[in-house]
Amino acid sequence: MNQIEQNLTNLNTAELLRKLDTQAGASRFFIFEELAQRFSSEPEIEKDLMRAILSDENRNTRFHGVTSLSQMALLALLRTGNKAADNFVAKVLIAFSPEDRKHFSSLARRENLAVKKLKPQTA
Amino acid sequence: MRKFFCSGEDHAFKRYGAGKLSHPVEWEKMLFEMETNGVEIEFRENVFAYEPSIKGKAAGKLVIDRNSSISALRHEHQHFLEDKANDYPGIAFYLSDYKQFWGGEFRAYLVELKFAKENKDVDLARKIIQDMKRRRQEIREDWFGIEDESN
Repeated sequence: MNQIEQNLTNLNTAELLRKLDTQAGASRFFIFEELAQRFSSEPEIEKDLMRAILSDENRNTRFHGVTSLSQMALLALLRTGNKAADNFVAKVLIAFSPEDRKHFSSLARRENLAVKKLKPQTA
Repeated sequence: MRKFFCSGEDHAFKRYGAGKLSHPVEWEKMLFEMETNGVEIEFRENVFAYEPSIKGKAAGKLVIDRNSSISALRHEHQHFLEDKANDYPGIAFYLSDYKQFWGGEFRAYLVELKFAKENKDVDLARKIIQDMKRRRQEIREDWFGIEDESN
């Protein structure tokens, strides 16, 4: 664990979520990693986390221009192996562009992570 | 198609054309080397990137325009070589230290400058230096929140 990660573990979840609005990309990456770890034991953060991830997707911060931070956050959630996290990722992905969904699937495949697909809602 | 924020343009393409035509042997050799080391290769128009694996312990992904110049592929190949030399540490390794992140970019741009120097192409060198400056600023501000040059 590096120094940045160590400092983040000392913050409570509300502080972490607030920090996302003010930090640059590298810090946001580590904050999302930490939030993903907490999601299993704090499922009540779902709404705030979804808002934060979608807001980051709009910022379009991409490492080497390809993978967005929000995609990295979703991968971190999938890695936890938590069922609620799988459902959460599926819900967030609906808001992504088709090409980003495709790119995300390829990233998940490389890590042998399964991406759940939500059935389209019928009226 | 969504426009990705890329680290720079392929300035060498205009004058030297696609690397697969100007340097076919080297082009194939670099792609083969990356592929046999486990790099996933995707051809995508107007994108030039080697991205380390997110989690680490595995080679990354090359996303590149199939008509990119040899200089652009050499830049991405340099990123791959460093990632391999670092034993594929994952993205967290690069994001935990500004100097680490920028150092890798700097050395990849030096490879491009070497190409410009070999061809005595001052105009190309000038454009690459402009890209370097832009990329450095992007890494400092967008990724590390460093605004003051004295930091």
